[in-house]
Amino acid sequence: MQLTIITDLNKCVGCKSCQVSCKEHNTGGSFGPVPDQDPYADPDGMWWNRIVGMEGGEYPDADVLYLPKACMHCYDAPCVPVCPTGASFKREDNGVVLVDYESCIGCQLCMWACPYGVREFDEHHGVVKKCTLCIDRIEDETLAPEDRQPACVQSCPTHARTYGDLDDPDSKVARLVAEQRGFQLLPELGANPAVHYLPRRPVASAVDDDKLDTLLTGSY
Amino acid sequence: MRPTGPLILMTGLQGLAGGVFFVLAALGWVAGVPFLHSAAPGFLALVGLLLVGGGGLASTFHMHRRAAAKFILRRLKSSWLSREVATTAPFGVAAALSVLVSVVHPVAPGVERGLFTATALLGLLAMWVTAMIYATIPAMLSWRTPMTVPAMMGTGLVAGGVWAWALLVVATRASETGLAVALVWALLVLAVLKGVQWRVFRRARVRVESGQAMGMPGRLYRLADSGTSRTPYRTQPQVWRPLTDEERQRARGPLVLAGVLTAVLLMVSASSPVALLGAVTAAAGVYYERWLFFADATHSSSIWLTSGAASPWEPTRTPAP
Repeated sequence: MQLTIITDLNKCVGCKSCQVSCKEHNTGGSFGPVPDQDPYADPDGMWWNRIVGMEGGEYPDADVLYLPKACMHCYDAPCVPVCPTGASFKREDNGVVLVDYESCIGCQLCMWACPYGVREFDEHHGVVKKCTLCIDRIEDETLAPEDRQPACVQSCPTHARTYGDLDDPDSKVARLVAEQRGFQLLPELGANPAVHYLPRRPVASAVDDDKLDTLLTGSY
Repeated sequence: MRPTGPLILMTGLQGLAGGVFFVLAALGWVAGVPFLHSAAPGFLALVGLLLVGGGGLASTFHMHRRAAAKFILRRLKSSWLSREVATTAPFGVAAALSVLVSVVHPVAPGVERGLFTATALLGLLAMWVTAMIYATIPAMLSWRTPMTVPAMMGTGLVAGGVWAWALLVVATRASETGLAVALVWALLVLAVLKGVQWRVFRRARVRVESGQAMGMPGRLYRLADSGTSRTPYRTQPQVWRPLTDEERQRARGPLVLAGVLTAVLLMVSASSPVALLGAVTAAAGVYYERWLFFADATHSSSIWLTSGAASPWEPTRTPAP
């Protein structure tokens, strides 16, 4: 089993509700508190899920892309073998990569090893922290089944994020990846991330009548 | 990545100690019994022990939760950091034994020479393992190259050799011309190695393209919102702000100057003060070399975190803090 999150880049509008709900859940929860020592004085704190905004093209063919980026829960997580104390580990039963704060020495080598820059250093506790895939929620049998999913997935207003088992070919996430050509980030670095993204579909650019003649003339 | 004092000190002092013991062992074989019967070996071994001890002490400041240090040998099978501890600690013990047999409790020259050799070999092993920590991280595009190990070990051996030479000049009042000439040649080789490594670093910077950030290599995007901390990325020290060309030159200048000065002092020195000055310039060179090694390194995640990604586009429009 390999639990993962698939994000449809066509549906993500960059509202950052997943970023905020992650922060809210993990700051208020008991498993992996995200430090937020002085949020009103210094907003420059730790986030386990960040939305990267990119701009492409030139007017009038410009576009904006948003990429929610958290732990990729890689099949071959490079952060795991480099850890000298075994604090970073990958669960065999569900593929989630976690950090045992009790045995973490805070050397930050796993942060160097992570190709995606999704691990963050908690300077107050002296340990490295990261997305847990809301392991406290997805394994909490007291919750209703529909609530047993990561906070970021549950809060997405456009349903851009889908959670499930990538190793189950009948799961929704596996079907999405197979049917819509889901891709991984930086595959050349060999981490084989479980998190996939569904590619943007090309959007026809609007050309007004005045410019149409110019473009057609220019083609020949 | 963000250069940190403990890492610079740890790797720098370990390299210096390795170089000192390498020269000590080499002289034990080349200069023979008269050298082993003199006071110089004890002097060198003592300084070497202090250097490796200082490196070990510095490493504890890089651990932010020392309470978990008892687990540090758990991942010997896969973690080069575990292996570093497993090799540097015996190097320190061997260095202490070298001091013991050369200063406190003299033994037969053959035993002393054997111990110096074993210490030097352990030092080389520890330096190699330390360099492998950096050379085996695929995400660190600048370090994952064949140049990392020879450049890192070479810097330590040459600078440590200069320290050994300076200590010998102080201890014996001799010019140690043969060793000085060998070190000048070693410096030249090291300069070539560093030149190639700087080229590798430049190529690593070019490998980072903003199109990769969205899974569309070849298509150009510019970073509008990194969604992360403002520089210097307090919670993500694996990425630091990219150095400007001016900053890079400013850091390389003192390194080149230190190398040239050290070479000149090696060639002209016949007095203790000048030799000690050579040791200082060599140490300064190690500092600048190591600072640049960390500060100028390119991490793959910089495509999402900095506006320094290679791109013909205008810089990011993320507002300054």
